[in-house]
Amino acid sequence: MEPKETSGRHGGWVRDASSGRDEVRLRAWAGHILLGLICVAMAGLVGRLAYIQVEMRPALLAWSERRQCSEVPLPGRRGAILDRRGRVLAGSHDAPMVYADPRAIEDRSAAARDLGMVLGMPAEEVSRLLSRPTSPGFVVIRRGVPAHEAREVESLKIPGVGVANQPTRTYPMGPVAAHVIGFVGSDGGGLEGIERSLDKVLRGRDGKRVVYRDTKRRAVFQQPDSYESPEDGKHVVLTLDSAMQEVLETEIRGAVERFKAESGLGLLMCPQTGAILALACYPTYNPVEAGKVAADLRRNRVLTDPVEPGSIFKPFVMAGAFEHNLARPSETIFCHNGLYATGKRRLHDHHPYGHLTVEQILTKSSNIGMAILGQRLGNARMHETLSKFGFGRRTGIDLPGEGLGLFMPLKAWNSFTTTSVPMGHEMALTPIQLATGFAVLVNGGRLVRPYVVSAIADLDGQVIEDRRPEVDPPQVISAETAATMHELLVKTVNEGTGRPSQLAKWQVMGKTGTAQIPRFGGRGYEPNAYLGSFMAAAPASDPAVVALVMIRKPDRRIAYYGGAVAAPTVKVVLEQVLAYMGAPPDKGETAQSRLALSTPEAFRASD
Amino acid sequence: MWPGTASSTWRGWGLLLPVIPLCTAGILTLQALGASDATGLLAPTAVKQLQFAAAGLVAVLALTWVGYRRLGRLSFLLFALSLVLLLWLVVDKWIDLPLVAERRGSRRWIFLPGAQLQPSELMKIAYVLALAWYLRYRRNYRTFGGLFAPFAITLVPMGLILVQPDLGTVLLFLPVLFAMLFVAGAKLRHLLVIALLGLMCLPVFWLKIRSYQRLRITGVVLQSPEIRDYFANHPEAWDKLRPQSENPNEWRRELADWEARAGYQLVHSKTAIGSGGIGGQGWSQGIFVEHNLLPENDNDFIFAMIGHQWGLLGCLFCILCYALIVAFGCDVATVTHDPFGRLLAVGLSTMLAVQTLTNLCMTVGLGPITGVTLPFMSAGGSSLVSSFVSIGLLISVARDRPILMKPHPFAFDEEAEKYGSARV
Repeated sequence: MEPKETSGRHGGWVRDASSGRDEVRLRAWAGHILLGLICVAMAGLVGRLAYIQVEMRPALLAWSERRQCSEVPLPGRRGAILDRRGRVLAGSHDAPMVYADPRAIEDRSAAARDLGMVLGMPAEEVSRLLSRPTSPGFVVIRRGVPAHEAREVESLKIPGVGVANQPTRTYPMGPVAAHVIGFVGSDGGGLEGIERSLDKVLRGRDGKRVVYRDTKRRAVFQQPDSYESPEDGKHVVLTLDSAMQEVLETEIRGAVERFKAESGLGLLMCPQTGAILALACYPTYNPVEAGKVAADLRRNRVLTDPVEPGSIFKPFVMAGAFEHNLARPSETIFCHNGLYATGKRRLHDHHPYGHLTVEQILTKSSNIGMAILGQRLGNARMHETLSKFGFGRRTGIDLPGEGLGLFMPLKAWNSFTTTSVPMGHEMALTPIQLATGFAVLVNGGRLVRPYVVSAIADLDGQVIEDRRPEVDPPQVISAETAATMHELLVKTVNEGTGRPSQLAKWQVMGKTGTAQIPRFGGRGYEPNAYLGSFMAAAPASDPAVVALVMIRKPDRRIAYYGGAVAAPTVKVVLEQVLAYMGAPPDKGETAQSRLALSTPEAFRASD
Repeated sequence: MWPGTASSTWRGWGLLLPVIPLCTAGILTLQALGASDATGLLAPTAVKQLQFAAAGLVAVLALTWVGYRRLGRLSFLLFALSLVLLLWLVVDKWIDLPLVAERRGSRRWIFLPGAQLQPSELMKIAYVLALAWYLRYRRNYRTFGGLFAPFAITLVPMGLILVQPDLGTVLLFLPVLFAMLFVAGAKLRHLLVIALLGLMCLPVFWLKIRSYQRLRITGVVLQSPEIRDYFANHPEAWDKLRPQSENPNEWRRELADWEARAGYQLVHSKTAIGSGGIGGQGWSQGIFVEHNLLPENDNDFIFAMIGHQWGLLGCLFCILCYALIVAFGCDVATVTHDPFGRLLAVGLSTMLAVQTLTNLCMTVGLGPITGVTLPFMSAGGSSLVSSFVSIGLLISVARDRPILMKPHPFAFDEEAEKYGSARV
């Protein structure tokens, strides 16, 4: 195949001098050259394939597993919180959430404008969210969007903007019982109140599934056997009654506003069982906006904030004196005409009294009389008796954050204490401790454990766990002492400082208190700052409810005595609550006829 | 070689031997991928591909019956028609024309009722025909200036396709041009000079291309984690590669998030192939087939599905088939003495070979990702039919080969120029 051989016959094959023989030969082999080149390339390809499929295979498989599988949590729906009659205080529902992947949005300003229009947000806020996403490809624009707005967002069809259903906590009654219910964080975990203490019960169990995702990160298929079904949370039934709760909250708020006070709190409790019927702190907040209010507002002050009780503490010391047979109600004690010097101490009464019976010491709330009783008791017996009421210990209420109060151990007590404690000084107790102690006086001497959770129910509403305290409350003071105190407390309302709380149909029993507020973090008291309180129970014949109301820092120019600021509040609360509960009247003209009627069991609060 | 040794009746038909298995593998893969959409036994994409394969076979029969020579006379007409269709697409950019719509940022298809036509596929055939027809007896391309016309024939359709844009298809034309010019007799010197000039234009090209195109090119090296680490540790080096128009933060994010962004396609393609191993997962088995984890898995990246299902052995078989097709084309070119047939065979073989190599290289990460289909396998009527037309033309050339004793088929033939081609 030498070109030379044929050049004779086909002369002029290679006429062009510039094109040498070599090039002709090269061209003759063009097809083979092409084929050779391609074969070399294909051999390279085969080498590459072998490298990928043999050498890199394990690494690629591991990468793929990591990258393409992702665990999708399936949230279990959070259980509801119900009041004692099954009314929903906190519930869960799936609410649409608008989110965005800012990377996928072509025109951010247009998207911000459109989204803002639909969602009723300023466009600047939306574009601020879009420019600062929480993670590179995700930012929540708004949670809890109404369904029609969600549809509108979807119809905008902005690439990179999506709507997803997200379980959302709702509080149908708004701020009612906010301090008991608490609230949840943005991740749905309970942060305060029942939401926190029973988070595990309410939360249920999240399920999960492992999915492979496709190019657009859409889940395409589920890994076999990876499905774990979610378990919905259980419902919590409270002892609270939302109707009573509303009454209490309204009246506390009214009192705070009327007396231009700083704050107020109240508690309704069943003295026989310890069930909390209502618990209110004012000012309050709406749990859905919990993130926006000050932490101070969210604190359940009934449980956390110890107060120096003042005169409402007197009945406990007096009960101690009766318990140790150191006094009789009819016994007369000289009260030094309003000025009693003992040791280095000089004690005063608001009104100077001469001789008072022990009964009168309580109804007129004489500090000097109480100091004398305290001295009779002595520190050891007084401490022992007061400890029996539960002071110095937590009541054990099933709500988070209960404070211990400040009740010194006996060895820290001195002669000063002997006269201070009987009038409710030198200590700080939480309102719940005071109410629990008061229940002992009205229920015949038994120390109950206060509680708010009465049951855990499953999704069908069947009670699966009874949370009521099982044990019979221990008898901490004798029934006789309790009966005596019962009588004295009734008299306090009928004849003494508690008169403003008298009701027409029901006999109320109680004790007023007006305490100065200790200077925070210092010695002495704040000037002109008082805590007006009233501790009551009704109906006296068969106490169904203990009520405690404390009004903190009322305007001194209007009123500040417990009998003036707290007792009228307790009165209106009890009036409504007893009627609501259907408590049989035990006083006045209607008492006889009403007592004849049997009370339906369902309307009794004493579970 | 084998097509030549066959008896004259069956001469050339042997070329279908490697084509049929490739087509079958493609259709099986499409069936596996589309099984979930199937209403009856077959997936809609597989049915479509089968129809087009049948149409392609009919085209092969028709071409062998008509003969490539008769078609040669029409080649300029065909080329003009293709140009008009390409122009139709281009003009739509400014004036809204019927039957054209933008898909994923480019205008590549003419939407006829019931079917789509991809003019660039038609152009590939028309271009080879036209160039072969133009170069068949001329000798002026022996001079440097004479190369102007062949380049013009090439650059006009290239430009029109580039505007679509479809960079991958554009790049197929140059190797074909060079191969055909070389075979036709252009001086190697001239060709080398032109190639050199072209290479010198590459920096300009680099400056002109857009961000995503740069990322595709850099993707070939970025697939190595070591190189990504290097760039991550030397961000200034990475910033040097940034196009002017690109936001610097976005450009850095492209590097940091490479696997999820620019590298997504390549990494998943490699994973699909790699998870096939030596023996493969089996037909319609494996997560990449069962689920849409790799975009374009029925189209440009179908080879990854071959690797996933049939492993290294399947890949070797397919590559062997492609090698056989090209070998046949080269053999036909070597033994054919008719200059037109020779040029046609070289052009078509080169086109098929370059297209196949470009696609396979991008699938395994040896080359940048360009939208080039894999002949005979990728879903797509225009691509499949045009591949079959190439085969039909090659068979036609093989069958029509005159029995002549001519020792140097590729020597520049001035005699032929003088006396015409009919030397039988």
